[in-house]
Amino acid sequence: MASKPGGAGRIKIRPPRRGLANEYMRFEDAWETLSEALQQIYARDASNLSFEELYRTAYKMVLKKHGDALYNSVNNLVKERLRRVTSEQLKPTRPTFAPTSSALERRESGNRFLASVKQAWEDHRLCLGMITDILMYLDRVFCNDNKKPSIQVVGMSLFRDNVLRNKDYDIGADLNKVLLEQIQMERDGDVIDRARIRSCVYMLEGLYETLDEKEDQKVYLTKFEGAFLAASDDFYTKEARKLLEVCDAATYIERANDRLNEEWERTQSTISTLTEPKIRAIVEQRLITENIREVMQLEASGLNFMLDNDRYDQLELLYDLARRVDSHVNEIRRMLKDRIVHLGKEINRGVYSFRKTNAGGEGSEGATAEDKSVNAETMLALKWVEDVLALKDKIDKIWNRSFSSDQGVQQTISKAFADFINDNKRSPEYISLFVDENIKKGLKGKTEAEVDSVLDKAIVLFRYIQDKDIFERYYKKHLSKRLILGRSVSNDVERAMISKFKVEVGYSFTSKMEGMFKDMNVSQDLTAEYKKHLANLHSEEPTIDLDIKVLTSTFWPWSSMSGETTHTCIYPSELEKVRASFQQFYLRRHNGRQLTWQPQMGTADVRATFKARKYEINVATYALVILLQFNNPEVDSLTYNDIKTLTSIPESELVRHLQSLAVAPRTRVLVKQPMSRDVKPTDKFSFNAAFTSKQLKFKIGTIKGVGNKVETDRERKETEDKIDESRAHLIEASIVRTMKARKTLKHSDLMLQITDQLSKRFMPDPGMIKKRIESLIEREYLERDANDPNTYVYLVSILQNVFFDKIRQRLTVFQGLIDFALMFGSCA
Amino acid sequence: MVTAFAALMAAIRLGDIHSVQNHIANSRLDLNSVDQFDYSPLILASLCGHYEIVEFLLESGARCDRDTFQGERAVYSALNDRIRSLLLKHDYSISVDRNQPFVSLISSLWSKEVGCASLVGITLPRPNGDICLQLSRDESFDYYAHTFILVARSNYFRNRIWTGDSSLPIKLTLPTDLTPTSISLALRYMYLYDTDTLIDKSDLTSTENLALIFGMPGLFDARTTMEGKDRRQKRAIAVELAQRDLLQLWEDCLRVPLRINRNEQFSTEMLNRKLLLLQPDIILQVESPTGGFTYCYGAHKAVIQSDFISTAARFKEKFQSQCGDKSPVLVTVDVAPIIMETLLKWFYTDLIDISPNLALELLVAADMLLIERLKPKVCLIIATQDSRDLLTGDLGYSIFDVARAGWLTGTFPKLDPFCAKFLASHLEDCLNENGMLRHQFEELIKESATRIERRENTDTIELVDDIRYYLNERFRMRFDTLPMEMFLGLDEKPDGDPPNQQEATKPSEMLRTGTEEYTRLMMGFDKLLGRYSYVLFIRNTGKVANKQTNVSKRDWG
Repeated sequence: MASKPGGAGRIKIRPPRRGLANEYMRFEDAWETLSEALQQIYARDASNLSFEELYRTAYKMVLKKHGDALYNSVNNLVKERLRRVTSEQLKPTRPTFAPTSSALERRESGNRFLASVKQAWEDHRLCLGMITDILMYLDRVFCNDNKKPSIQVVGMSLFRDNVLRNKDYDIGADLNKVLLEQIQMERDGDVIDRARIRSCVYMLEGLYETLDEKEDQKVYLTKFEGAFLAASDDFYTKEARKLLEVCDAATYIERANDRLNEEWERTQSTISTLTEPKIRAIVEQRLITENIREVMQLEASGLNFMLDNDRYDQLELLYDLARRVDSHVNEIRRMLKDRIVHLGKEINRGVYSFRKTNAGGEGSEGATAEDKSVNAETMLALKWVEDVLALKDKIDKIWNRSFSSDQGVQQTISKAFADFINDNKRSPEYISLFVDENIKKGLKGKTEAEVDSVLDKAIVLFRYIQDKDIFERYYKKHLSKRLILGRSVSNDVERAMISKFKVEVGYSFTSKMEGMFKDMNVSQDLTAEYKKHLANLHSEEPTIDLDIKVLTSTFWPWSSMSGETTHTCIYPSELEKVRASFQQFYLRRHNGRQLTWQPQMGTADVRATFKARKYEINVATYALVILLQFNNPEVDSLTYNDIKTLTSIPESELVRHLQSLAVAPRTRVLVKQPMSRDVKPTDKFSFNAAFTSKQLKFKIGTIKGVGNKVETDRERKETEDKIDESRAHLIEASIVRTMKARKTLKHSDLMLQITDQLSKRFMPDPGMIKKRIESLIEREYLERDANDPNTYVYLVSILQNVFFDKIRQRLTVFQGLIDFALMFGSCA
Repeated sequence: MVTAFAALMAAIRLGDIHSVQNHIANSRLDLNSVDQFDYSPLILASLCGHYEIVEFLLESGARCDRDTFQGERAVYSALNDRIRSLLLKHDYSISVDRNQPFVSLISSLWSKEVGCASLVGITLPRPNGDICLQLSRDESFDYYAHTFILVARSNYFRNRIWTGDSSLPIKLTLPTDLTPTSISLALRYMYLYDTDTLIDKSDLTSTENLALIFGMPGLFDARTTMEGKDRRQKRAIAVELAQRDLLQLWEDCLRVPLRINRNEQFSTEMLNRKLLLLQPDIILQVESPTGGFTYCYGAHKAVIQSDFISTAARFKEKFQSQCGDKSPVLVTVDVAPIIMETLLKWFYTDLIDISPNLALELLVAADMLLIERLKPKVCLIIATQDSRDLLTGDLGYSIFDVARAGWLTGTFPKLDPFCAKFLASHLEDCLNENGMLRHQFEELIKESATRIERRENTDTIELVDDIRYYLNERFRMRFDTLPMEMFLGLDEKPDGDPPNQQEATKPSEMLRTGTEEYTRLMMGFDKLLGRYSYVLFIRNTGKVANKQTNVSKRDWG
């Protein structure tokens, strides 16, 4: 069967087959063949056509220079065809848009119209594809050589001009109208044939305004999209108004969200994805940007309502919506801040109103009333902190669950908390008290993790405090009492707390506190060594078990512990011996130091024998001194003045201790004559041998408790003065540091620098800074620039040295001079 | 595939060599494909200046050939000289590699989906040793390969397929002792895909095994015989082997067409068994020159590079598939069988094997069938002959046919200079008053002039200009061989030494005859043009006539 072509029959000289030049061809004949074939294609009867034959015909026509004629004829044929399609198939289905027709009718007629447009388009595309295939040589060679747009491109533009923009029937406008109407129906909740609309949209996307088919010249973009966006804009403007009228905030945001999803889905399934960003912008603008504030401010359901009622889901949705239009969600942040500050001030108000009511009654009630109110306020302070923490917890939960832990929102929250916390001037004290309270009692029986979380909370609040120096002062005061009185639960917790502070604000803040701990440790060792020393002496003296605490003066908030008066007293000989012995021991070890005894801080355990039996009593050192006066069998009774001369205890202390020894009902180890509450100089005291008590061991407290309480107004005044003083030093130091580096600086710049440097510790008052500057000018550290009184000049050299010399001197004096010791005794 | 490639490109951008390595190790990515910006991985790595990645890519088989656009781009966009020299070091084709188109043709089949009907599914051995786990569902095959490639390149597959059942679709299951890697390796080798890496990197024994199992002596040879040769040589040898394999296939199975009577209906059963087993998915029909028979060539769409044939097949398949007909599609091609044979051979092997006297016909066929890549090659064949036969038309076509074919097929930039040069060197014959040639020559010049008409405001006739240029060249070459003094002494009387005179006479004689000949030719040519332009002048009016007068004026001026 098979054989090699050519073979034997091959002639050597062959004319070019079916000659290129020599075969004559009439255009009309060839075109007739082709046009008939094209008609057949349009008639969907192409299966019998010979592709090869048709291709060859077109090929030959191009070779014979009939390309131009062929090109035009084909285009004409397509044009004719499209016109006929328009008038015969599309025109009958044009919808009427009669205002009277029902929605159902309109939908049906629209559907019919879309279907026929779709049909026409698909027919056109299919046939054009086949025509392009057949005329491929024309496209490749003729169009290319003559820079004419390809048959495909022209065919598309013909569809655009003869169907969509037909002179007689404006199919394009109809199409737009129907499409918009259908979309509107869907927005109103009807079901429409999405696929059909999509194919019409595809059609518009496949057509271009110009022959070079630029992407931004799609008919979809030029003709449809604008109308669609305008209609959508209109719709959503109304929609927003309607929703605002009838819905509460929760429903509004849900609906807005639904609409957004709906439009997104529409761009994916019904119209072009090209429109997605544009329509989204419109919906966001109309439904969110323009109304979100109003929605959030709705009384009964707005943001405040959601916050108060922990509506996490709603808040989350609201946040998501707001984020679409503003990545910083400023609107939410502003309202959130207002709300937090509002809630915070509510908490503050509880404290204020308490103080106000008490301020009225204080004068008449006297000291005990003051004590009572102080106790109550301490409770209040703790409650305040707990309330703030509860609020913080609540807001944090919302932040975490609804605001996707947005950093910006967190800043806002922090700022809001800082605002109202600093609004309450006593917050540093309260927070320190809270820590004190927890370390003293609250932490018993809690796991380490729980302890840690409580302390962390305290740190969170600490972070908000602006005047960190005030807090430091209070904390030190509270800490010192805890340490000296051994009230803290565990050293570990204390240290943990301090290391937390250190992380927050650095070493300078905690160095003194750490010094306090060091003192405590050193004292323990010292006591042990002293005991060893005594044992070595083999002394026959009655033993007093001495527990001594030597404190470095600079570390401890001495003034707030000791009050304004210096404390001395004449120690009874038993005590004096011990004291002298220790002092000698200590000074031998640390030459050049000075010990100042602080008897008012000490306590002593005394075993006292009464008629009924022996009791073990814990009393303050001063009380011990008083009691020892009665230890002499020759002494029967002593008057107040006697005691005063014998002991030379400061009067206020003496009165207090006598009160607790002789007036307090259950601990009356002394008898006072006459029996009355107040202690008068003429009163006589004697040992109450008939004393009985239910407990074998008990404690005689001083009237004024040793626990940490809120300060009284008087104390606060002192604290404030102290703080002002220390701040003044800090400001001056800071000014000098800055000026030294910058030499000259404008007033405003200097203020800025100083505020910036110090804001970590406290917010300096501009007035105070000015005063400090004046003072420095007076002392000739600075001077005003001769030309510009607003500029300061730093005076260099000698003066500067003098300043630092002074400071250094002061430091050495403080360190070298004073070491305190406290005495604890126990005597039998 | 797309995402994996995109991930690879992203990793390259970042300079993350580890993920690049992972991507390449874990997926069958074509390292020489490009992304939407036409970046190949190599270009990108080179542009971003990641030396290690460039190195790795080159080692993994990325190509950087100076004669390809991508290769040039990689070299030119190299961030620094270090990378540039690395690329150049790996460049195979500083001298042009003739086989490059063939390699890309075969390797592009590797990932090409065209012509699925000719694919065969290959099933990997299952770990549990169950050989025939495979059901006939197509997507469950592990690999697809073109039957004709398998048959051409592997003895193993050839035997399997030829002894196998001819019922379609074919599926093959492989012996159990093969690993996916080794099969992949073998397939890559067959498709010339990353051949270099395979040869270089795979260890000897496994390659040896593969070569034995699949009956690919070439693969084994590639390893053993090429020790010590550089990459370029290795590659050239591998490619040559592949070409030989396909040529063998062509000679064995494809070359001989089925001959049926003209009015007989073709049916698949008529094909011979060997061809049938290759699963041709297209039958190309041509008529015998005498018209009595129809020749049917079985072929594979995957290799067809004619837009006409591909479109025709697509066009017809639409209707065929509507009727559920799965037999190969029939396309009638209006060329001589010998041309069809040449074309098909070229499709499969990238070899053109045609005598010059058929070259012109082949060129016209290539134009008609829209085979752009073939045209320049045929032009080269045409333009490298130098035979007086072209003048007489004894070859089957004359130089005038060549010129016209050049204009017709759009290859005139290549052919026109050749024609002009040829005519210039045979101008005497063309100007002979009595010959047929003169008439044909005139006609050609006229046609060339009408081509001008279609362009804008060009003053001269292209062909005339070209001929003048080559005429000048022709004589300049002759003058150039003469000594310089000849020209100096031309004006003065050469009255130098008598002994020298004898020697000087000969060149000067040559010069004189040369000049005379040149002048004579020029005058004859001008005369011809004058007559021709006169004719034109009378026939046409207006713009064209003016243009021609301008031409004339300049030419005689």
